[in-house]
Amino acid sequence: MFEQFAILGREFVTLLSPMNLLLQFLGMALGVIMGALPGLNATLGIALLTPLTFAVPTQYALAVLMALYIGVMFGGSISAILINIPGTGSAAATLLDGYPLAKKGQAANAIMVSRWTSAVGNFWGLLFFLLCAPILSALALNFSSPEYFWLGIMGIAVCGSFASPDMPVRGWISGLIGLLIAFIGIEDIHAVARFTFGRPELFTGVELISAMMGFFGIPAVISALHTRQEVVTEQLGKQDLPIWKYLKDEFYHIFRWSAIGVWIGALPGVGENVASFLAYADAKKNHPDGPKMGTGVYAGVAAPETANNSAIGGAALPMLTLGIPGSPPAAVLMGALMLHGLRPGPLLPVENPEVIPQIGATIFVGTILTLIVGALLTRPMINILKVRPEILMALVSVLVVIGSYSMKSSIFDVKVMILFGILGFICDKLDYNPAPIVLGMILGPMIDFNLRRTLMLNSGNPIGFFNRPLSLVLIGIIVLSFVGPIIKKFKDPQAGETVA
Amino acid sequence: MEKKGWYSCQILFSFFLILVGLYVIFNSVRYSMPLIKAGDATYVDAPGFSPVVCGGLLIILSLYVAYGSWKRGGTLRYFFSAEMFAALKSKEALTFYKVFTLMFLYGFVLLPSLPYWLSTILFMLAFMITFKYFTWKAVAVSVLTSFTLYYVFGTLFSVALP
Repeated sequence: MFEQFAILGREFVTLLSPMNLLLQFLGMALGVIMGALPGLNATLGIALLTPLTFAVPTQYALAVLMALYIGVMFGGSISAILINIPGTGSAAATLLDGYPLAKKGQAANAIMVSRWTSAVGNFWGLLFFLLCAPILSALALNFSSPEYFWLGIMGIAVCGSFASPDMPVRGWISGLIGLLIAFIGIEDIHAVARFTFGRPELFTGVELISAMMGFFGIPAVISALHTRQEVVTEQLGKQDLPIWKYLKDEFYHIFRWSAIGVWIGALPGVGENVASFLAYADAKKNHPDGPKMGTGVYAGVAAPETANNSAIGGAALPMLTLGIPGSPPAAVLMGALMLHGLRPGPLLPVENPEVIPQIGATIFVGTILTLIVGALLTRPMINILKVRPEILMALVSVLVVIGSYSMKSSIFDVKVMILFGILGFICDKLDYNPAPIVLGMILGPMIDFNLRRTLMLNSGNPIGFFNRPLSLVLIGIIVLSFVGPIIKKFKDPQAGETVA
Repeated sequence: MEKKGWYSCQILFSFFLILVGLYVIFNSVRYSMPLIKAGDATYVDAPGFSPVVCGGLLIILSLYVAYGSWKRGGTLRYFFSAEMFAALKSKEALTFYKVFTLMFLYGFVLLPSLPYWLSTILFMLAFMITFKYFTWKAVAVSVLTSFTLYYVFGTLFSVALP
C-alpha cells in the first residue's frame, strides 16, 4: 500500500511538467465552463473531448479528461447558485440553498463554499481510491469466469435499482437494452456476426463514444432549446466568509458527506447525481442547520458539492480495478481509456501499473486546480452564462457530429449517433435512465463471454455459477438489489407513479 | 406530458421492446442452429444463447411495464385521440422535429456532398435561423467554428474530413 503512495508521488512530480499542467488547467477550465452551462454535463463533456485526445499520449489524455470530469462537478454549482438552473444533474441539490443564498447577496460566499468543499470532497475520494485500489485489485485477481459474469450482472442490477428507484423494472430494462446493443458485432467464441444487418461497419460493434454523444448530446440540445429562458444572474456580493474556520467547524459533516459520495460513487453506474441528493438529505436530517435548509444555508451547498466530488474517486475505483464504471461519466472515461489501448479491469495493474497512480495523481492535481481555476473563473462565468442557447446548442450539435465522425472517419458513425439521439430522447421522456444502458453496453461482452465460458467449462451444468465463495457473495448482492425495491414497493404501493 | 398520455406511451414503448425481444430471439436461433446442427456449438455456447436470455427477459419485463401502465390508465386508444394530436404539435415536439431534421440534413445530405467547412457553416446558420436567432454574431460564430474545427481535426489530428 505504501508502494502505491510512493508511485503516486512519482506520478505527481511527472504531472507537474509544464505540458501536463497546461493540459490539466485547460481541461479544468473547460470542465468548469461546461458544468456551468445548462445542458452540458460530465458524460457529454468527456465524450466530446475524447476524439481530441487521440493525437496525444495516453498520460496527457488521462490528465485532461480527469481534469474535465472534476471541473464539471464544481462548475455545475455556479449556475445553480447564480441563475437558479443547475448546470448538471449533480448540482440540482445545490440550487435548493445556493440560489436563496445568492438572493441574500451571498453568492460569492456560496461559490467559495462550493469550491472548497468540492476540493475537500475530491481529496477524500482520492484517499479512498488509493487505499482501496490495491485491495480490490488483489481481490479481483482471484476472479474467474463465474465471478466476472456475476459482477457484470451485479453492476446492471444495482445500477438499475438505484437509477430508477420509483420503478426499478425500467432500470433493469435499460440495462437489457444496453446488453442487446453490446451484442451487436462479431462475438468472441465462434466469431459469428450478430445483429449486424450485413453492415461491415457494425462487425466491431457500435462505437461507444459515438453512441454516447448521440444518447446524451441530442436530448440535451432539445431540452436546452425547448426550455429556453432569459438568464438573470444574481450579483456575486462580498466574499467574506472565513473559509478555513468554516471547514474546521464542519469537518465531521464534510467527512460524512464525502463518505456518502465515495460509497455511492463506487456502486456500479449510480454516480454523482444520486450521491449529491443523498448527502443533501443527510444534511437535512443530521446537520444543526437542517431545519433551515431550503432557505439559504451553507450546509445545503456544502453537502451536495462534497458528495458529488468525492464520488469521482469512488467511481474511478471499480472502473479501473474491476472494469465496472461507478457512474455514467466514468463509463465514457472507460471507453476513452479503451480507445487509448488500455484494458480497465483486474489486469490493468499488471499490464499498465502506472495508470492507477496516474489517475490518483491527476485527481490530486485536479483538487488543487479546482481552487485556482474555480476562483479565476467565478467572475467571468457571469458573462459566459449569458451565451444564448441557440449558439451553444448549434456548437454542441456540430461537435457531436465531428466527434462521432472522427472515431473511424466514417459517416456511418454519424448516422449511428443520430439514431442513438432518437433512442436517448425517447428514454429521457419515458424515464428510462441512461446509466444502466451505458453500463449494459460496457459490460455486455464480459457477461456474454463469461456466461457461455462457464457453461462450456462445466459441460452445460449451471453449478459452476454457484460453487465459489466469491460468486455467492456477488449473488447475495444481486438478490438484495432485486429484493430491496420489491420490499419497498410492498411497503409503499404508490411508488412508481412519477410521471416524467 | 399528462399522466394518461405518459402511461399510454409507456405501453407503446413496451410493445416496441417486446417486438425487439422477439426479433432478437428469432434472429439468435436463426444463426445459432446451423452451428449446433453441424456440431460446432452446443446450445449453451452458441452465439445466440445470451441474446435469447436477454431477449426473453426483455419481453417479460416489458409485459410487466405494459400491464402496470394499462392498470394506471394507459391505453393504445390514446394514440388516436385529440390529446395525442395536440402533444404532437407541442413546443417540445416541434423542437424535436426541427433538431432531427437539421441533424439528418447535416449528417445525410450536407456532409456527404459538400466540403466539411461549408457544410458546417450552412448547418450552423440554418440551426440558428430555425431557432430564430440570426445576427452578425451568428454568422461570425458559424464561420469561426467551422474553420477552427476544420483546422483542429483536419490539420492537427489528421482526420480525413469529408
